[in-house]
Amino acid sequence: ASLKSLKSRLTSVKSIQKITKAMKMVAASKLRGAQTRMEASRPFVGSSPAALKEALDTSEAKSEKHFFLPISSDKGLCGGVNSSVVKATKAMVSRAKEAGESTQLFIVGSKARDALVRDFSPLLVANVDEIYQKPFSWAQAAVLADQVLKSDFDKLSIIYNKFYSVVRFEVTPLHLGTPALLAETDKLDAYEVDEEEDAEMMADLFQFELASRLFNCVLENSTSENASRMTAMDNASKNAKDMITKLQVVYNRQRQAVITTELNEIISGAESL
Amino acid sequence: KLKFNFSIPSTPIYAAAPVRMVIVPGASGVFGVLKDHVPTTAAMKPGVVQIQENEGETELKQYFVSGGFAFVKPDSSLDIQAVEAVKLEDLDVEAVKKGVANYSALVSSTTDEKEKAQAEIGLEVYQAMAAALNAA
Amino acid sequence: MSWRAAGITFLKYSQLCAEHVREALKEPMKAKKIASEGLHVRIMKYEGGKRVKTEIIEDAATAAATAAANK
Repeated sequence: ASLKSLKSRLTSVKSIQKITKAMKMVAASKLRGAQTRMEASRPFVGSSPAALKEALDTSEAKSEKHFFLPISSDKGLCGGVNSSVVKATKAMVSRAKEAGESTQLFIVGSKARDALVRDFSPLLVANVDEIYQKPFSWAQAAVLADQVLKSDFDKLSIIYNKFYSVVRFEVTPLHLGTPALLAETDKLDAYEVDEEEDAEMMADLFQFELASRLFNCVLENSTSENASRMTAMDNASKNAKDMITKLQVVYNRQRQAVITTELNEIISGAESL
Repeated sequence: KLKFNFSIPSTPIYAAAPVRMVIVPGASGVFGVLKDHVPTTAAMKPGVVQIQENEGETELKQYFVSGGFAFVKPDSSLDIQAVEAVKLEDLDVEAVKKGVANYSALVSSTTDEKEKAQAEIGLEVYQAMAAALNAA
Repeated sequence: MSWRAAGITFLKYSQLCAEHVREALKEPMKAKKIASEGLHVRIMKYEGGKRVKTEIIEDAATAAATAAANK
């Protein structure tokens, strides 16, 4: 490579490094916000009675009408957070189809939509995005829950990244049932309810619980997203730094060679006089 | 004592706090919870959650909740999940009075069924807040 | 309780109640709460593999903020 083209490559890698460093800073600050909100939301979601959670858990249950809800981000450059949700969704939908279940798909975030729409568009009921522009609120989760409940299904599988630490988040499916389960279950028998409004209250309680779970899942996923982006951008910055060091060495060597050649020319020119 | 958890989606207000008594605005009637209360699931209407932290306390802590659910669990704990909860003293009395007037007018002037129902929700909440503030 | 008859869901009802409570707060609690509880969702509905409808659901405060920003 010529000295000039080396110089311009060096400049462009340096400016890329500036961008990835800035993106890392932004992701770190968003991560702090998302993690704080997620941790503050855990007592709310966690305080539903264990009996209610057990009654709604359909991990082992068979399904005829299976509803899948993968959660992804709207923005990219965040490592494997979205692709792992997409991969898990594809595998789960295929398995459900093989088992003869009818399947529906409700996608949160534009990234999973872009990846799933080609193969699965006939299953698609709805896609929701633009939910991350402000801090994700329970009101938004309630809107998602209302949309989900417009469909007819007997098993709902939410697929999202559960956040464990800045370097560890795992794609996790959460399988929920329907209000019918609450009407049938004996797990809540220990709890007294107002008899006249029993059925209505159970239906309301189910909606409330669904909104709260979705609230938690989206917060877990967006915390994972920001952690993953921070790591990805940190790696990119480090790679850029390595490349800058290498290019600098090559550049310096070449420049030295050019100077040496020029010196030689001058010296041999002087000698020939 | 009663083990008390009280949270809204964005944040916990009480976390496993030992308290003597909590008064809950149940949808089918206000009820008090002491320790060893029978396990109960109750929906909450807009109203005041009152907390007596210690025996003999006369100044109860008061929060206005917009609604949600209360669970008395078999282990003598009470968990309240409210959609919104604010300290009663943080409510603006003038805004509440105005809200009651505005929504009363809206309820009587609106004919569309859905809009009327929405206005009635506004009136229900503002009336509950007005009642809570007058009582305070 | 005519909101059920009018087709308002329990979650929508719950959300409206919460909004009314926030609206009645004193400042600065009010502005802080409303800012952190914004509602904006874009929903695209599909039928038979085709997008048939796009809908935006947002609360009054967020809608007003968006309108002001676009001016």
